[in-house]
Amino acid sequence: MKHKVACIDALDNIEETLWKAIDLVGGFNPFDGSSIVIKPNLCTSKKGLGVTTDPEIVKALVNYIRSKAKNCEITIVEGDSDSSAMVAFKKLGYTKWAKDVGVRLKNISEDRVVKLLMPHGKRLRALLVPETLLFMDYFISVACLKRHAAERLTSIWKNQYGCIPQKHMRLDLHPFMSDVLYDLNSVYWADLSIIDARVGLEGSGPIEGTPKPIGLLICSKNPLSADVFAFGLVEGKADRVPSIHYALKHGLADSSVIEVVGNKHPQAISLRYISRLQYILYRWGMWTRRRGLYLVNIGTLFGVIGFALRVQNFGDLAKGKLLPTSSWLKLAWRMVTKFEISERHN
Amino acid sequence: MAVIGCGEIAERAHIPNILVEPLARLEAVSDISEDRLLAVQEKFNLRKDSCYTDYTEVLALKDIDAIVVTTPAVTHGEIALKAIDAGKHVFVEKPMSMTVTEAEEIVKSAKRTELKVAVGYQHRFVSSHRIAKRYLRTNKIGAPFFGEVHSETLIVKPEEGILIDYVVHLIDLLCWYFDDSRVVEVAALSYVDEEETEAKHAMIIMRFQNNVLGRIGAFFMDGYTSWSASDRFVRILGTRGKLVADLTGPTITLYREGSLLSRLRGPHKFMPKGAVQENLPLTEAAYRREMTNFVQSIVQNKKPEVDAEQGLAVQKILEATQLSTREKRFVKVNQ
Repeated sequence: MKHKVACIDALDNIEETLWKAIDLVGGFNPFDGSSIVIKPNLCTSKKGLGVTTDPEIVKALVNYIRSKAKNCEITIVEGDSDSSAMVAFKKLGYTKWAKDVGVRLKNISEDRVVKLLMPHGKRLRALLVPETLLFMDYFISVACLKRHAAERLTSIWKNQYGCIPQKHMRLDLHPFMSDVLYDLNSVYWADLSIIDARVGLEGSGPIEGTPKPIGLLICSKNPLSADVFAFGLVEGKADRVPSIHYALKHGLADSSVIEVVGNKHPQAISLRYISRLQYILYRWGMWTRRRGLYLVNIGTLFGVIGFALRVQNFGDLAKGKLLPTSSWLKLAWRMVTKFEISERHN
Repeated sequence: MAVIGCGEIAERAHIPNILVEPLARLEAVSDISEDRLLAVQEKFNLRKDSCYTDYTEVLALKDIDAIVVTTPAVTHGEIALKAIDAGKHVFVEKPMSMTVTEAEEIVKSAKRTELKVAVGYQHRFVSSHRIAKRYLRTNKIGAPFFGEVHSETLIVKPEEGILIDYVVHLIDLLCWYFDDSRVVEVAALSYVDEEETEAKHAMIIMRFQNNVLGRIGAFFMDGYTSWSASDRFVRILGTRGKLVADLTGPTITLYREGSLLSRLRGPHKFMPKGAVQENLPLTEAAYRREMTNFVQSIVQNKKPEVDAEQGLAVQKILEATQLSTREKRFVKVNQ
């Protein structure tokens, strides 16, 4: 099956452009009364073209949703970054508008959370999920097209990284970005993905780069396909981006089978990047930090064994009173090789 | 505080929990067995003069504000009443008494004296149940129409039988999930071994006042050695989804019709944010919270989480259940 990706000229009227793009990929028709979450990329509260999601595109999206289902509960979510998400909402122009149109703004770093178990996670064994996301019916990701110092390019696939409620955990898990993004997207698989590529970011992104006009709007119902298409235009081959390479290699290759629709079919987009030496150093840094994180897990394992011995004595544990020995060994292996996004890391 | 009855639950949970409770001080312990008393005194480094073999001496102590009753079930009601008469707040292990009449007396005495009476139904304090109940209350799975508790247990006191020693916990938990809604009628069956006098296994079906249906299944896995063989859960079905919470473990399984996570992965399993491992039970923490709640209810003069009236409600359902198993018919619960 081919995944539709709409690529159209971003006209002056962003609402008209966005509505057209969504309709080109089959439209978005939520059921009435549903709970819809929109995740923009507000990785900083500093205003900057191409760095954070323009509120105008989110406004146009909300109008589209309301035209399809009037009684939906729409929530725009973001986690804390260099400042509180609520500060970012205010500085970037979301707060007053949201109040006027009855859209809820939610800082997921302050939301109630539960720990979702990920028995088939590639790198995560548990993930803290804010309750707003636990009970949402639809998820829409709206991102920019940006250079990223360690990841080459980021957009939709990495926007979901902001669904990790704790800022420190996001930083800690950078060395496992590809695996973690795979796991996160398996939980928060966007129903609709919109890349605002009217202005891209080149150089040393995702915050410090230089804005560059591109003039495109990209939309898909498959989050990975949206990125594969956009990154393909910049890099020639999307799998030069490590997180996309990982996702395509681990069972999602189907997402690279794309049918492009819309009025714009560019052959390439030029976005300047950092030097090769800088990039290699970033990647080596990640490789080294990965080893350190495994050591942290071994330490945590000793702690958990100690905790278990408070509940059951060693003899009972060894005899398998609580769990068979093979299950304990399996658990121990998972504890060392996989990671948990939990409050303990705060 | 004083603890009357130094058996396993006192030694494992209540005594250590009182000792670490910042608002409480353990002043006396009592048990009819001198050996048990000595063992507890040595284990917790208690003063020798704080140990009594006659609990009435403890009730007479002026320094004691609250009594924790952890004796065998047949003595709960009598000791609780005497403690209230002596002007003490009471925490009594489940069941509150052996008869509805005695339970009603406790409720009346507690009201008359304005003393706090709490009953030891600690499952309510398991954090995963509290999350699951919040989701139920906030309509996350729509309107509930069925609730079930199923438990295969490795521990039942043979002299008390599964109904008195264990099923009362499950009755209380199910009623609590439905905001202590009244149970209108019950029907129950129990299984008694040829060599035993008390039931080892029991099944109860019940109808709540709001027409929600309930089912409890409790089975004593006599001879089993590993909890890994035992399934224990609460399951609530609603019009928009279902919740399954481990009875003592931390996990909750959620399916919610239409939600993204249920479409992608559903039903999916999660735990309270503080839970360390899905296989480690939260029982110890529940006992701790239960005691903290009792102490705070006294200090802050508020209703304990499980008060005497709730203990009485469980007692009425238990009595109707016992009658139903004997007479093999539906029994109206007189509430």
